[in-house]
Amino acid sequence: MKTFTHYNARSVGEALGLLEKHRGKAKLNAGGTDLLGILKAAVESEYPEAVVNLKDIEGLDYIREDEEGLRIGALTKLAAVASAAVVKQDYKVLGDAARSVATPQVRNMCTIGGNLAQDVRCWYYRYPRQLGGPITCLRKGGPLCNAVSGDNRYHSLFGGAPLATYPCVSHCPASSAIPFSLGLVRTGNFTEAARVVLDYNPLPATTGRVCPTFCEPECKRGETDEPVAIRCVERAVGDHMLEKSAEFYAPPGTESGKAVAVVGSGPSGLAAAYYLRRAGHRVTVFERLPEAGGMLTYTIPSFRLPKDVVRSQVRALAGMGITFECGHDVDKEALSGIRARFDAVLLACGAWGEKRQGMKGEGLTLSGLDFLKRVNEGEKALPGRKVAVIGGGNVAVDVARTLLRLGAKPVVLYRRGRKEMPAFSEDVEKALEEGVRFRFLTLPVRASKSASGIALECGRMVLGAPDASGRRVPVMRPGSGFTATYDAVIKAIGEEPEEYPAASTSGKKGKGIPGLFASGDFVTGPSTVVAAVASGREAAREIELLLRPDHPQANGGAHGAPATRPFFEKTARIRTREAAPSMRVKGLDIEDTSSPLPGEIETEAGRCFNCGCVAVNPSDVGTALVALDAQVVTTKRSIDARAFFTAGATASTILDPDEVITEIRVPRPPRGARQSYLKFTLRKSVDFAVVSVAAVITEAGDACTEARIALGAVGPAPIRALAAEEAIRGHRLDDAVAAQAAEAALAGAWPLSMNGYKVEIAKVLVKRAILGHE
Amino acid sequence: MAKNRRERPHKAGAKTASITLTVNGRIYGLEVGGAPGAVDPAHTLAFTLRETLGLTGTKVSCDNGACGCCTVLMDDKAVLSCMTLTVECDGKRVTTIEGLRDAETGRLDPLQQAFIDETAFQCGFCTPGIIMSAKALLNENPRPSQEEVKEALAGNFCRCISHYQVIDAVMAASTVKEEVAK
Ligand SMILES: Cc1cc2nc3c(=O)[nH]c(=O)nc-3n(C[C@H](O)[C@H](O)[C@H](O)COP(=O)(O)OP(=O)(O)OC[C@H]3O[C@@H](n4cnc5c(N)ncnc54)[C@H](O)[C@@H]3O)c2cc1C
Ligand code: SF4
Ligand code: SF4
Ligand code: FES
Ligand code: FES
Repeated sequence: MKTFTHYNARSVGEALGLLEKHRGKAKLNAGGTDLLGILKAAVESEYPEAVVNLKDIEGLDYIREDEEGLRIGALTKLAAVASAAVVKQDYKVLGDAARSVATPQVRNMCTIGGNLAQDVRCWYYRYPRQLGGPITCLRKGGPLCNAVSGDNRYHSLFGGAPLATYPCVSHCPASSAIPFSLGLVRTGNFTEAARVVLDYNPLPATTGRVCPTFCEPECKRGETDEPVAIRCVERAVGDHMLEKSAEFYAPPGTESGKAVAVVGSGPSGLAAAYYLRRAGHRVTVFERLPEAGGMLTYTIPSFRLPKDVVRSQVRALAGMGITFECGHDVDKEALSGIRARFDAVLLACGAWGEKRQGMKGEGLTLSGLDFLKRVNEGEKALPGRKVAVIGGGNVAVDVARTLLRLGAKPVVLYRRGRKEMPAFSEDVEKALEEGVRFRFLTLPVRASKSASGIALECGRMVLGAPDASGRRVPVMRPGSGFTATYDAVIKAIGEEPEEYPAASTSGKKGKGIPGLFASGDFVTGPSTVVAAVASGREAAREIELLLRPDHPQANGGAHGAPATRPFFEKTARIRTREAAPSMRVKGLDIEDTSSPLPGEIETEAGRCFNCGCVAVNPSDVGTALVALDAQVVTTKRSIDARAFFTAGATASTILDPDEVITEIRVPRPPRGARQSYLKFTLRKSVDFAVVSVAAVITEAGDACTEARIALGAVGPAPIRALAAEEAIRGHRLDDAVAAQAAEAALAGAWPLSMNGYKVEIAKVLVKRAILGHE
Repeated sequence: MAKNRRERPHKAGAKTASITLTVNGRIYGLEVGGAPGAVDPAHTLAFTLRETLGLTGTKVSCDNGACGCCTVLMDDKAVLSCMTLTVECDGKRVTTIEGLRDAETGRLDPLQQAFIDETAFQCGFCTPGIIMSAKALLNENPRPSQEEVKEALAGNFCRCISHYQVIDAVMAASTVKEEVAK
């Protein structure tokens, strides 16, 4: 064992002080029977700097009964718990569980608090560091749960403990519940997957095409081979939803009687409209252009986002009962009219203003947004053959790629380098493949008319120190000027929200005026489709809060499910079918990537590890306490035994690092209740449970009146078998009823590759517990 | 007897600096720290007994709390010395296999003699631990049933399958006691 600083605490207060002093780097030691194992193998990524002994604290070693039930001090040894007369008499399930733990010597040492707080026993996790280094599994911050792909015979039957934050989810601006929807797609359940996606993002067919994939670079699968093609799956789910739009974009069941106006039909407005309509409000979307969709319709070129996708998306939303009023410019006057007619108004009018560059002769240049808009409206005229595009963002790259498809020879002039380009690198890559030329470190300073077109005077730049955004500031190299002549120059150096008269009066873009809200690019300036969607969803939530403060919120964040289904399959990442660059440039409407084939998507979704840890909680006492509905009392709170164990993949309990268990409180079970703790192990002594069942069953006459059944060692936490309890309540407890309950208890089981045998064992134990066979 | 740890002055938040330990009736004062002969905070009691005090009768096999080879008596209870930090034994009374025979006459404890008489071991590696577990049992329950013996020794593993003879030996030792008492 590596050394550490050691303290013998004499009081709980002193122990807390020491924990605080060492800020998460000190460990409590009670009996030491678990902690010393962890320390000897240096299991945890960070070895503790200090150990605080609790054994010398007086007054935490007691077993008392009062009118409410039993109170057990956290430092009470399990040997004492197992042999106490009151426990044997009235809390038999607890006594039996304590007696089943380990060996007589261990029970003479280990404490009830330590038993509850002990760490998992997964052999990958516990692999001794001194034997060639640790196994860095998911629980230790590694990419993958080794048990899922390896030997999992003692692991969970009911999924894994989720990571506190999934790397993919936490990097998605819409916080889409990626592993949950992927898990459903894997089994072919597109319907449920779509419902999960819809809780976060109502436009997946769009984001599934144009999202810059914030999630994929973070995906843990990428550390094993390649990231899951999350966007590709999202696209398929989105297309499925549009195909069955009547099912997924159905009008709400009940109308709220409230009316909301959304100004702007870009992604943010559409998302907000969806959630508002879903909540039952009457929603009208005002759009100044002839067609709805905003940037989706008018700027993003159709080779990236086919217009029929946008149109069917808008149609689907209209099918929910959302009214679209296109060609309706909402100016200051119109806005006050609208505000009078609607309960709330959302300004989601995007960022259509263009920045000025300040170059001399700027008036000779064309606007990038305007060019894209006109092309999307069907006007395919070329401004010239040799065209310069100024800028390095998505609009500049989209303009250049569009020009190419119309037969021009575009060159992109950008004042910084390739690395600094704000455009999505995937699109820059494609532009390069297709033959768009880039002149980096080039800044036009003056445009003038010349005989053969427009003469652009440029300077060459070098990169200096980084600015506030972390990008290096370009500085002009003296005497580096040159002039080039183009047929046309298109400027795409960035967009900004237009001055909106009514909103700007508040100075805060709609914030602060009652009933007036704002979202999307209009608030943030140019961002991404998915960020606009997230912002629209948030605005809808705020509006809902205003309109119906007491109504439960339905949208977003509903899928923080307690367990994931970790999974490993050796398959390669899907190869998206991309048209060859030479094909792509032949037309504006040839989509870069084609849809995946049926079957491919399920396979790809199945590559998601569904990041979670499938180790089981090893505490026998914990399983008994869940059946007894006990409370774990700490220095901070009193925790329901069931909740106590519902930590994530990196901790076995919800205890904070500066929290000490002080007492266990067990309510008195009903008089005459039949209690049993049945534990299946390989060897009678020492072994941890392969499966255990704790049951407290009350019968009156010849029927069961009340039952609490908990299963141990089958999940990341002890599991209440609610379905089994339901199956026996009110029934006479015979073989048939017990068998039915056993089936019900294991109905949701999801065995891993090697632990299917545990299902049968668990059924037998449940049956025996119900029938009272020891 | 060693001064009880609770009677020593204690400064809240102070590191453990030294301990006093009674082993087989002998009192040891031990410094805590990295110096030679001192007890490092990370030393287990098994390590201290064997390497610092030279009492190698206590065996270490799994070093993980699972086999019972390192069993010693602490304040009369059977515990695992491999899962106990020596720095946490201040003021404790420890008995090892070396402490069982009569210190004056050198006569073996009747339990040890029974193990010899019943040839209750082969390689003998597990034997000190088994005898200490059995001793704890007989101290508390001088006339155990076979079941109680089995239960008390459930935490002691033997590779050589000496268990049957071990039970005979413990039962024999408990009978001896009774005869002496008569
Ligand atoms: C060979 C062997 C077999 C075992 N078999 C079983 C078995 O079958 N069933 C079973 O349930 N267990 C089993 N165990 C585990 C054993 O029961 C636990 O190690 C023991 O209960 C932990 O108690 P402890 O007091 O020794 O805890 P320690 O090892 O002292 O502590 C364990 C953890 O809990 C924390 N902790 C301790 N007390 C508190 C407190 N008051 N507040 C907050 N945190 C605290 C510690 O910091 C540490 O992280 C076995 C252990 C061994 C060595
Ligand atoms: S089950 Fe948990 S502890 Fe075991 S390998 Fe998987 S992530 Fe690690
Ligand atoms: S494997 Fe799945 S859950 Fe894990 S990061 Fe990747 S997409 Fe998310
Ligand atoms: S060496 Fe201590 S229990 Fe095995
Ligand atoms: S006698 Fe050899 S291990 Fe028990």
